[in-house]
Amino acid sequence: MTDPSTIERHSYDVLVVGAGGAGLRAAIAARDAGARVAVICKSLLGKAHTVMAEGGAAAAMGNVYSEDSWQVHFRDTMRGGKMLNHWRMAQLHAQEAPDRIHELEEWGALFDRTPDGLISQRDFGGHRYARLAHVGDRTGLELIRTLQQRTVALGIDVYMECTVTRLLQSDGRIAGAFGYWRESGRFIVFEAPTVVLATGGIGKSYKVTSNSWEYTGDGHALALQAGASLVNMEFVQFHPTGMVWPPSVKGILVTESVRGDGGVLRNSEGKRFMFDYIPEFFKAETADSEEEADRWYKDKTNNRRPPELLPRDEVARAINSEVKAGRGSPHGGVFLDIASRHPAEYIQRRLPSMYHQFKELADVDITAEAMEVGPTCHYVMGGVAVEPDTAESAVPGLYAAGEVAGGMHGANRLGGNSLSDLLVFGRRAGTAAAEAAASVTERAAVSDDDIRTAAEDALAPFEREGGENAYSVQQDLQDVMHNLVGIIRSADEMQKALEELDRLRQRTAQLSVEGHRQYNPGWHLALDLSNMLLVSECIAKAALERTESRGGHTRDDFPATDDTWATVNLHCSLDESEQAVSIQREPLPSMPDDLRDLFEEK
Amino acid sequence: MTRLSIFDPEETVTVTPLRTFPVIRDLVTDVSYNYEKAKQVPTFAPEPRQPDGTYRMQQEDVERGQEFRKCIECYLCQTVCHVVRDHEDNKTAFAGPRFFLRYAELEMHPLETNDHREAASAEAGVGMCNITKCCTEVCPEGIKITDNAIIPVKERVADRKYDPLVWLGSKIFRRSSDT
Repeated sequence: MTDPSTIERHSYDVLVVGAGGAGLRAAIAARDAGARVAVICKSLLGKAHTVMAEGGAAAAMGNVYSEDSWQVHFRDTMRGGKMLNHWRMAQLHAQEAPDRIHELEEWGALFDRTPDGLISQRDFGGHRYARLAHVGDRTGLELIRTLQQRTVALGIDVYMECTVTRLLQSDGRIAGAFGYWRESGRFIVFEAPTVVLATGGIGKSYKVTSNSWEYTGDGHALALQAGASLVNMEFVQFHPTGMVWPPSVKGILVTESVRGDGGVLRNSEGKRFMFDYIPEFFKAETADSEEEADRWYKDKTNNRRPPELLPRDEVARAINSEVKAGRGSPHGGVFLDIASRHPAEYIQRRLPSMYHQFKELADVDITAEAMEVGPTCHYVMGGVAVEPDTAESAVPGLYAAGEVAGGMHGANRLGGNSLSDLLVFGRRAGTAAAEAAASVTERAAVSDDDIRTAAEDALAPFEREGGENAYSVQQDLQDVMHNLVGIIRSADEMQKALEELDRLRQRTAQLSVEGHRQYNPGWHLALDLSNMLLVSECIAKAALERTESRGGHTRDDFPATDDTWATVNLHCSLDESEQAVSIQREPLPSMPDDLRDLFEEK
Repeated sequence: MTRLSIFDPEETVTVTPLRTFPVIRDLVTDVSYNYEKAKQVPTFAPEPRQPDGTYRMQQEDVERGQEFRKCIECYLCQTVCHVVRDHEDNKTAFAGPRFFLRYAELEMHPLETNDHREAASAEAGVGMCNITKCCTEVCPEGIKITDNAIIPVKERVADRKYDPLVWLGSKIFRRSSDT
């Protein structure tokens, strides 16, 4: 079973782990650059979490507002990220997003159009101009299908329902990866001088989340174990609007487009409470009366944005406060009302998936009544620290793109910036990995000892008897993170969380799995759990360290934003023994003057 | 969509594996048939961009293809299609409703330059569908697979094969393809 000579082996130039938008875009780029490339994914091709993105992909194409430009998009992104973003990533992203959207059309994507036939663009929180290319409210699905069909057309090898459990290295450099087929439980080894991580996020460590079962932080953990560092892990985005009722759908996303298209938030008293929560930082550009806010939808030049479209962290905190103050909806959320603001036909045309989702799942007709919504864990800003131009981590040959990479979004991500992020940096990672692979003259061999160890580790849960099953540990982990390292945090709670995580780690080490290796979800979760624990520890430790509130990190005991923290990033890494996470403070990369000047005007 | 609330608490709910595909374990089936068929769908070949680097399309023209691109690839249509459900040997010659959507999408794409009618007929076997609409009935996205995709593709295939003028034209002008 664990004899390396009997294990299935493949050899490639570039190995892409994850088949969401970033992974597929990376694979296409690597193939275009002449590399032999394989994509590995935990689920079937085309099922990645990218499909859940609803609103759109942000790109300053200027199709609706010709005043828009990459400079404005860059500025919005940095301000949304509370200036903690890596400026170079934000710059590349804003500059290249339009080309990345346009090329999707060459591969068959069908975006919604403006009256003169160009790609239509919609409004979203934190974006100064209508900027999101979209397909109704299923933009992510369009993206994944387009990239998926391109991947198939290029004949790229895809290993479906296959999980990577360990990166293989030789003298620190990437040499390949070890994994197993979910279907058979058999092991598989890939030899490759470069690996692109595109594994997405970590949301399954939280109780209420919009994220899919795949989001167990695999790439974050693999990178840590390989010696890379994670940056900005304290910043977790809670999307302000997730479904809250019925319990079986709690956390499922309600797209921000509802607000972009005119939906407003009200509390149990019927009040548009967001006017009470406009922070000083955004006062100049936010409407302070309902009249002005309502005029903005028609005339954006002479009116300021409604406060419902403030960045997500602001809106999520406001909803949280309203509910805590006893002004919530019957099931512990607030009301999101579009029914009273637009005719049914408009709502059904603009938000078809939302209409369908509420009708089918909650028996609510959103053209006739308000939705109940509340915050849901949505996105991790933190991820593998990478070099912006190549997306390469500190480990030679290891790249990261999309949600698993860090730096691009700083302390808070703007809606619509993730789809464009994964296109821009997916392509950059794929191209850079292909070039690096081509320049490697002598390929490092994967060591039999490493393979044997990886195989034994993977099988360990079968060897133990009488232990707990993985599901109960996962549930407890989700409770700990939700209750103690959630939207509002404090030192004593996070200290308690770290103690709990320690206990959970001991329990995880004693898990046992029943049955055999063929399609055994309990076993799969047992292996994923150690990744979830590692990532959760990073989040809790970084959040404890940052004694201020900023973006997706709010401290009850340090409610103000502190300027001394404005120039500091926190990096997480593993010590030599791979046992403990340590935190290092790093200065923020300094922005060139011509970009800094963009923040001076107004 | 099936919700537990539509059942009586006393009622027994029966769950079975998809019938068209081989069982791997419990309810898990091997759906690789679909991914093999996906590889046979022709590649999109668009016309060149406008001089300003954009493509221009009208909303009403993209909406036809957008309906098909709502597909979430649950493969329910594939599993209820009796052409493959009850006749294992048809699987080699028949791509199934999910992939007829792809042909319809290509045929109706405002930018597509190729003619896919021969492939739809010869490789995907659209002619074997006898329009029982089982696929449309089960589609969770409400895509009108039969009416909006399969029948138009069948009609286009038939136009190509049997239009007497086209036939005559191809004989007289020795054109191997029609327009």
